[in-house]
Amino acid sequence: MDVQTMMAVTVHDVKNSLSLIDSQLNDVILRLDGSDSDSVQEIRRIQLECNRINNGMVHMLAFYKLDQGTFSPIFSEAVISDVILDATSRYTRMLDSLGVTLSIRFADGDEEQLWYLDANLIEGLLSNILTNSIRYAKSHLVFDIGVVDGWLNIRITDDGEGYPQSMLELLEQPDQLSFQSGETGLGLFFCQKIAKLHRNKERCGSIELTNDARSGGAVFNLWLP
Amino acid sequence: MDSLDLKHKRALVVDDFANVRKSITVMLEDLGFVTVMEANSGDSATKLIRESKYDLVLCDFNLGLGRDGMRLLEEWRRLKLMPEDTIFVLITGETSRSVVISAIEFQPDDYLAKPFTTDVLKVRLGRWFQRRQVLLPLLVSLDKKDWQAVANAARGINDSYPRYRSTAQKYLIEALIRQKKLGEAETFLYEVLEKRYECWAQTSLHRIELLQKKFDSAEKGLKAVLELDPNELIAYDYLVDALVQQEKEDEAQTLLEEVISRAPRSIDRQLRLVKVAQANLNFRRANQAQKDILYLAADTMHESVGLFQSYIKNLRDEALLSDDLRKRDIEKEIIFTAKRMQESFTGDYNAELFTRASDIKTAKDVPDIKTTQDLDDLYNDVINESDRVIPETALFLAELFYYSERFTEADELVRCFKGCFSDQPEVIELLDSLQAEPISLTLRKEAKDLNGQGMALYESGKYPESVGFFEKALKVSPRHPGIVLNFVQSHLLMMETRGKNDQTVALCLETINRLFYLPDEHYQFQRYKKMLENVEKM
Repeated sequence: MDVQTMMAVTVHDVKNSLSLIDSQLNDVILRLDGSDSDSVQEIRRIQLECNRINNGMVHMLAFYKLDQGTFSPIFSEAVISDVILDATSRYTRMLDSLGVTLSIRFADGDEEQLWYLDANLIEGLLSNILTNSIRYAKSHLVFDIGVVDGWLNIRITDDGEGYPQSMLELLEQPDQLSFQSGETGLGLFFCQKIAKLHRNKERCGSIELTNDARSGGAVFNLWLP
Repeated sequence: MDSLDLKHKRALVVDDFANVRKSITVMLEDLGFVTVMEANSGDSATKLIRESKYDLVLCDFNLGLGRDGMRLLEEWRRLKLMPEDTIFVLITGETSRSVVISAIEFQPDDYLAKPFTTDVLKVRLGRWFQRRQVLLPLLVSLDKKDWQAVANAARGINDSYPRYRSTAQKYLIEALIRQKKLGEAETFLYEVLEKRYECWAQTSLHRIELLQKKFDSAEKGLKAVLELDPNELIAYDYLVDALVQQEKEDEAQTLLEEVISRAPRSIDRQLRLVKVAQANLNFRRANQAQKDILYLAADTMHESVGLFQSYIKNLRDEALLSDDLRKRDIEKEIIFTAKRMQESFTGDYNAELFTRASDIKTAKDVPDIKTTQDLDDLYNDVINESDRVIPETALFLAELFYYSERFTEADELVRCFKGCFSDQPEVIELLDSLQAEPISLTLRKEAKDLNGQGMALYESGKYPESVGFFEKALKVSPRHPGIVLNFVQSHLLMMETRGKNDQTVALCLETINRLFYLPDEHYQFQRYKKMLENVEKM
């Protein structure tokens, strides 16, 4: 068995287990039947971690295959709201339980806005960011979608404490992955790679982290050409 | 979602894991479906799809042993088991999608990555049914191969539904190309590309160049496409076409091997590799591909007696040129494959014919009365039931009679089979080449090279030198129309300057008469007729 097959089988296996854990946790939540909201919240946070593991596995396999030439991004026109809905809908119940509201706003009100991208990869990227945002948001998450100077901008803002300084600096360092501190930046590393795969002539996609000047919440920006 | 009325819709869930099936079924029921059927394999799913109509099929790509989800979809579409308004969704890993990309007519409506939640499914369901409603007229026309109607529907969708624009544009181009409206397709593609570079549009432009026989330009363009996007699989296929048309088979083989390593599940590409490797006389590689095809086709609608036959036949061809060690391996492989064929196709007419012909061929090394009698019997049996014979068996039988030097019967078989396969030009072409050159591929290549050298000399006016090469080529391939006619033509031209020579005229007559078998519709027929007249006049 070659390394790729081994990795693919492992990922497949882990994902199956995660899926099983997730569905069993859902059963427990159903049994609790709203009687113990603290436990429900705790279980939702466990599910969030399951999602993080899932995302990490998927990204790792994708880039390994990309490197080996056995995975190809599929760029095509996609409805941006569909991609966002695909990424957010898997967290619907989690957001409910955690009491976090989600709003999606289109700058010019055009919910049918199309963009040229790999819908699957972008969905994965957004999902990745969402697991973090949900973890740190207090009560609200906002998606802002707009087209600026020919770039598609998807901005995710939460009302948490904002990114710590070390995270804000992470993207500027040449080698962003580090095992020295607790925060490896693995998720962001993958997000940046996915963004960079999107090119239009000499323009290439990128991500950006800031903290909201007013509220102090974390702001994640995705720019696609 | 609520307006969907899922209560009256029927869903089918196909997955080899019971717990996965159960969990998807529960989700669908939560969302309002009342009728959800489950199948654990390709066979059981096919049984259900034959029995009744479903509005939605959720099918896992991996179904354990046997057919995968993609093959199942292809089979159901080809055999028309699933109506156009059934939504088919393939459940795959996020990163395996590119591997399962297939021809436009066999694409699933959507892909879904596991694990997914009820809410994800809910969002998607709404989208799938809405999309199906908009695309239905297009898909119905596509199923009827009514390309004019496909183009009209695609234009309508392109203008009115931005969300399906990309899909509609691809169908429009396909429809225009099928209707040979190449100029119109080109104009449309240039408009698309003006807005932004889209790989599919650029690739389609080069596909049109191929159809316009601009092979060199197509080759350069497709290489540029692949430079930018090495994963645009379809561009490899067109590039292979461009290379083969320019007789660059070596490069075509390397390219095919590369694309197959990226997406190993395509039987069509493997079949292509067999042909190209054979043209390169790389029989070992061709047979490796044949073996892969048999593996991929196992338990699918692609598994056929013909596949086994061509594999065995090609193994025999390879054995002729192999060392003893390889010969022994090949013998084992032939026995194993023949056994598999007999097991899978017990009592099959073509399998039996093939086995009989094979036995005669193996015994033929010691010509005896029995072989002669067996050949007579075989001929009589086949000639009366030629309409039951499949192309692979037909070619094998005709070849057997040529190799046994029974030319009259062989020519008659070819004539007869050509009648049976009149609607399959590629089979006619193979029968024609066999009749013109009933020799091994290696010898054909040798004759072709000699003929090529003769032609180069002929074109520079060196007729006597060219005749030498044509003569050598004829020794290898005595009844090839091109070589025969080149040989005679050179002699006729030489006689124009040197004067008539009875011995040469007799030689020309004897040589040109080898083409008595040439059918009226053969592209060399007019040339042959005219030259025969000239020789006879002399």
